[in-house]
Amino acid sequence: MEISLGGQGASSHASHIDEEGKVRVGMLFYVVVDIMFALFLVSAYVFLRGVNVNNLWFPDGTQNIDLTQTTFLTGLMVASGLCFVLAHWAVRQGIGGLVKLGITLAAILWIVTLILNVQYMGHLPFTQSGGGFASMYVLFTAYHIYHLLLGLMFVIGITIRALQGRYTRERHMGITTIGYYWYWVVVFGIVGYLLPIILPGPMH
Amino acid sequence: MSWTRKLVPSYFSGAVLAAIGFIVGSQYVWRVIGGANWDFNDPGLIGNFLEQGFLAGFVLMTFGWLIGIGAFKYPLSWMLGLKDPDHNEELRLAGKGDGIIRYFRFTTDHKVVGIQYLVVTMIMLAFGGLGAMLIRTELMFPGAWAFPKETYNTIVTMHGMLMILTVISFFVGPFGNFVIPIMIGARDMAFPRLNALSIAFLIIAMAVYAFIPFMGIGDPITTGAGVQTGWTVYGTLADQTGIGVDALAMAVILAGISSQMGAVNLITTVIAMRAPGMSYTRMPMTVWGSIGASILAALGTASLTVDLVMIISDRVFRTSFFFAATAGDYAGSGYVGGGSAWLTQNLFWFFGHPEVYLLVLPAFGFVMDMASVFSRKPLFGYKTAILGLMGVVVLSFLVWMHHEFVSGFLPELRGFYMASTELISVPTGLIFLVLLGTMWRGRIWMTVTMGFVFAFTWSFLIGGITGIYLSDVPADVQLHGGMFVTAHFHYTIVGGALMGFLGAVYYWFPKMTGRMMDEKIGWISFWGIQIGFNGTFLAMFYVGLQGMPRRVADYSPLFAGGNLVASISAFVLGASVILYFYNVIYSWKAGPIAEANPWGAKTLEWTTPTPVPLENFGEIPVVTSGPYNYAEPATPSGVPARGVEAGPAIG
Repeated sequence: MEISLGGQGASSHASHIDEEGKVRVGMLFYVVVDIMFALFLVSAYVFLRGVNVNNLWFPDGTQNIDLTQTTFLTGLMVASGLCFVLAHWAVRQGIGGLVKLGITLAAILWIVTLILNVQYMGHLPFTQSGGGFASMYVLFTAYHIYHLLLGLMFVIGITIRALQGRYTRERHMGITTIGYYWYWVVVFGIVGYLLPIILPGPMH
Repeated sequence: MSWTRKLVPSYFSGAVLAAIGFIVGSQYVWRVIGGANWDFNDPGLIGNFLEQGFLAGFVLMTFGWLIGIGAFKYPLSWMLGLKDPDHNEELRLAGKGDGIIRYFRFTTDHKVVGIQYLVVTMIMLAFGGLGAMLIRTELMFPGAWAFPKETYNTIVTMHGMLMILTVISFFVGPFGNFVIPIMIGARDMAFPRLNALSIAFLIIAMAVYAFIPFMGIGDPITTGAGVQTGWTVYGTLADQTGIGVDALAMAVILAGISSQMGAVNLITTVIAMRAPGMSYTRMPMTVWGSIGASILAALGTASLTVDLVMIISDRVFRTSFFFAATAGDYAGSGYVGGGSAWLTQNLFWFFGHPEVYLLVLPAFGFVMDMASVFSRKPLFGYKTAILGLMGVVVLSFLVWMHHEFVSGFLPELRGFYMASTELISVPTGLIFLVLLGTMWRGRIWMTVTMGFVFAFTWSFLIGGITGIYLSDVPADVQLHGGMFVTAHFHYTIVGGALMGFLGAVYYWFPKMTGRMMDEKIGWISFWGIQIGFNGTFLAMFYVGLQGMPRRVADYSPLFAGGNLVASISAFVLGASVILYFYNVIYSWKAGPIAEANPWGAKTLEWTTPTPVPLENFGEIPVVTSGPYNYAEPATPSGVPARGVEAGPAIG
């Protein structure tokens, strides 16, 4: 391998590295790893639903899950994602006030979703020991709560920085990369909501 | 800097907080929630909350460790919107001016992390090897004469999983960390803190792993201490075995997180941090092999994690992921049913088979690079080699169900999985073609490293060809669950991955430590390893073909001869590996001082001084040619006379 030093392109610092691109690639791969985890959870749900021909999928006599509540929770999550989209758009347009508003709203909705999800999980009409569906459903909900908890660090950090006015039209890598995670958590929330409807549990 | 300042935060303060975390977590569940008194045999403790207590202990132990080493400092400061650290602070975190204490801290310099990984993986290898010796001691004679059968099963499980974790750690660890950033002309990994975090997770994973043999002792409810499932930890077995399985599952989840962090970091480093001129087609094969392994780790590990989470959940929270039984069969057990035994098999093997390639892909890269250096020839078929490596990556996700040929699951798919498994021999064959073509008519410089390249070629060939037998459904139905399988995968993992690793340590040792490894001791240990390894596993092929099942402490006298040969050979192998370790330690301390480029190699890491300075390069180099141009006349200083001239034309 031949190299040249001090010539065109050489530098005493790592200036050839696209720092923003680096963080983007890293976060993207992190999300891919997370997507793979979710993919195996979904596969496990489909698999167990497929092999369960008896009544063990959801034992008779157990109360159905409440779709109204899950619709509301998913709606909150989607609303949080939309507020984030608004903030992301605003920062690219250089509208500082709207960035602060969008991020703050998105963060509040995120935290409310987290609290309500914990409350929801504590009041399910079945326990995790109630058969294949119950086990999968609780695991899905727990994984969603894990996402929300882990994301809390991002949510607090990005909100404080947005309120400090540190994101500008030129420099807003944080919003872009954390956005990947934010949108993915919203998507997973929707998947978790739809799966029992498409491949039903007890209610059909 | 005062000693207090040096030790807090460090691995020492981490260990203290980890211990406190474990005590607080476990005692809270046992005493406060469970209401048990301080008598360990209290039925309240054993009957209901024993496992939950351990689990809580492990979780808080991990948090304690991370807090104690200072891993949360930067995330918290980021979260609170405090000032970002400047370049000088980053250098301090990278261990500048810290001396030897930087090896015992959350240090971000990739070379320090590489050395930490080297030491940790060597210790893991030593314990895994000890397990192998104990197994061979038991199997030396018929009859379970050395250990109780439950203990033997635990040793088999611990040996298997530990060795897998060790070899997984090899790729992201010593070489992925130390060598690859320099190889591509970078100053560090893309995310230095994530890098330091990945070794921290591995260390705490091993601390949890160490609990396995001690959990469940004296417990009348579980079936003895330890975990008796074999390394596959099938959920159906794990649901019923001793409580050591909780520690195993937790440890493997933590180690999996470690390897995923390492993989994401490595991929990002290679994509975003290459020096100017270092195009993808100028990257050495070590980088390509590690990238392939990282892709597999990033995509496949999640499957195992899901499996293990379900196992813990089944045991601790009484879910029913793997219990298919009707409620009546298990009335009173807490399990309702509605799970599936096939679920655990699919989840495990979707990770399990790509994982084999995850182990061996970096070794493919190492040996191709080393073959080129010590044959003094450019790599034969650079793009063919990339095609081979990436072909293995893609196909490895399409073969997992050959592990379920005899499980009764979807027998109509057997034909497809037989074909896809056999197909994977094509890209592997390309790699062999490149390897042999590179060595063919080269001016072979017969160092110990090159010895390991030849050993890899021989051993992996046997491992690969016997794999084709096992991919064949009729043959697999006969050989499944027997010693033939054990011999096959040891030929691929020990013969492939481990030989590549041992050769690579010898090759990069001068750059990593500044000293040369002793050649004479190296050759003695090399031949001992080869004789011991082949003696052990050829004999195992023999008893496997005779029909000996695996994972049994006792066996028919029919297999006595082959097992005796295997055990004696294994002890030769064990003694030779000890000699190899001795060589590492002795040479690290007293070996001859190494020059910057003792092998006359052409890749970038050898252009840096030894020891490699912080940030690696004074100036980032601009790369103007490929990594194997031995036809060029430039002769680095200190290269032996038989050195760098071009080899003859191929063919």
